Amino acid sequence: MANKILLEVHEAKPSFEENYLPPVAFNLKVRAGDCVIIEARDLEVASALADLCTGMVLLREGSVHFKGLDWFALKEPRLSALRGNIGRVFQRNGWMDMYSIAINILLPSLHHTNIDEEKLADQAMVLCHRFGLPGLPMDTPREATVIDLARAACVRALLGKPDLLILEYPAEGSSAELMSPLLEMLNTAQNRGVGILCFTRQLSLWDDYKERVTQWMRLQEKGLTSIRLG
Amino acid sequence: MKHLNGFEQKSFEKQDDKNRIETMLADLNKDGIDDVEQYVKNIRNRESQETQRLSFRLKMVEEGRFAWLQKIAIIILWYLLPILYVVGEKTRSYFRFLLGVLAASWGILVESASPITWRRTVKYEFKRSLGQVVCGGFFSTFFTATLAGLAVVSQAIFWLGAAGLTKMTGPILITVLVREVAPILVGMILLGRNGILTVTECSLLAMGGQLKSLTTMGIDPFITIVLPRAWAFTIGSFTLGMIFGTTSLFMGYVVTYALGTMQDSIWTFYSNILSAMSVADYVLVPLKFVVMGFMVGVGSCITGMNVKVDDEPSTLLPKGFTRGIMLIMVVNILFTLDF
Repeated sequence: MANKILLEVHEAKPSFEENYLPPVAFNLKVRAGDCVIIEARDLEVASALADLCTGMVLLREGSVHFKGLDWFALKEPRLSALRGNIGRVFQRNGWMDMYSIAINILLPSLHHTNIDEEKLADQAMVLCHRFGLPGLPMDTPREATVIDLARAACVRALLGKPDLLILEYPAEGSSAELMSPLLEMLNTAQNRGVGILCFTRQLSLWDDYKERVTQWMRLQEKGLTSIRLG
Repeated sequence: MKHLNGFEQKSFEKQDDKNRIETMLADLNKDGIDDVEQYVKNIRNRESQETQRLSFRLKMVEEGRFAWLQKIAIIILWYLLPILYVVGEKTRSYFRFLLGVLAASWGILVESASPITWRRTVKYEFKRSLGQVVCGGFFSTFFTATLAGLAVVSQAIFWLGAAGLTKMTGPILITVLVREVAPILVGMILLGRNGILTVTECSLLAMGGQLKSLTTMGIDPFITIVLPRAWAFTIGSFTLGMIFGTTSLFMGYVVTYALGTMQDSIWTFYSNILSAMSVADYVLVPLKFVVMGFMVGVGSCITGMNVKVDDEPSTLLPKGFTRGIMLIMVVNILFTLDF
């Protein structure tokens, strides 16, 4: 399981229609149990790379495989079902205002699994408590604070035991009390064989997790490059 | 103040042009066109090929009696094609919405037949939307039906009684009120109360990027938002239509009974109305409500999701309303003409 490649981006050059990615080839491998931290100062480019990893960006060349399956060779409903195996924290636009935060959290699991609703709600409650929320928030995203939304986003990403986690700036801009439960949950997930891909603006935020990080990378105009921390 | 002489001004203009060209070339580089010179050469080759095509085509015309006519036709078409392109594009853009609604309707019917479509999220959205449509539209429908009963039903009963045509009350009320007026009024209530809300919600989801986020999470927005809302509008339209019909007839009866114009019991009145209905009416009237609700639901979702970047509430909401009215009228006219 340790050698199983979850996500493989091979010489992927994005098409230049409406995306923020530079027109260079991207290469990335995330194995089961890996934790890849990508330093990206440009939020739009980071989101676009995360979209590329989930097969949302058209490619001119190259391929993107998830669990051995090429995103662009799949059709609905397999495509959506495969995306359901990815837990994602969106840096923005991840909440539907017409539903409460509780429904937003449960939505992906309700859609992709047959797990009993009450059981799902119990699992979500446990995660909410871990992240410092008193329970499943019933107010709408517009009424919630930024820190509560950040916590809820982590709960949603981790609910349903995904195979890959893509986290866009999960703890930046929030108080430090979110970082501790997040690292604890990521550690548990990594031990379970989940692959983690995390975007950050400050590598120093991950100092406490340095030993568990398998790759450090930087996203710039010339593409994705590996870096070695001193 | 120092003024530029003509010569210095021209050199500045040339410098401006040069800077502009360099900026354009730099922009091309950013778009991933690595060899800019080759790219420009390709464009020039393509342009020269376009101009050669007309002379080439004229050369290909075989010599004969009507060769000159053929050449004239080729030249006319050559210059007319761009105009036809513009006219065709405008025409297609007006029909695009209708064609989009028909395509989406077909997609909804096909997807609805599959059991895996009806997941918990789809059922949840369906229940939520149905509650909004029926509960939200109930009082509006009730009051509109009351007014229709007072204005249409009571007046029809009164004047037909005065003209000695009491037996015509049932057929006239069925033809005018139940078949024609009720579907249009219910359609407008549905559009005003829920259609516009759907346009707003869907446009906010589209512009806010939430639709893309849903797709990223593996949740198809068409299945989760458009499909359940279309069916909620369908069932809601039928429900509100039945409420409208019953209420308007009842209110008309109450007014005429109170005025002393009507002596029959309520059951005799309803029995007369029902006996005036043909077998086709029992099928077509509910079908009209169903089809109209479905089209209003699909049209509202499509209008909201196809929002453009420069759309604002002042342009989007009137667009949604007029499109909804158009769909209501198209459905009503099709049913009236065909049946």
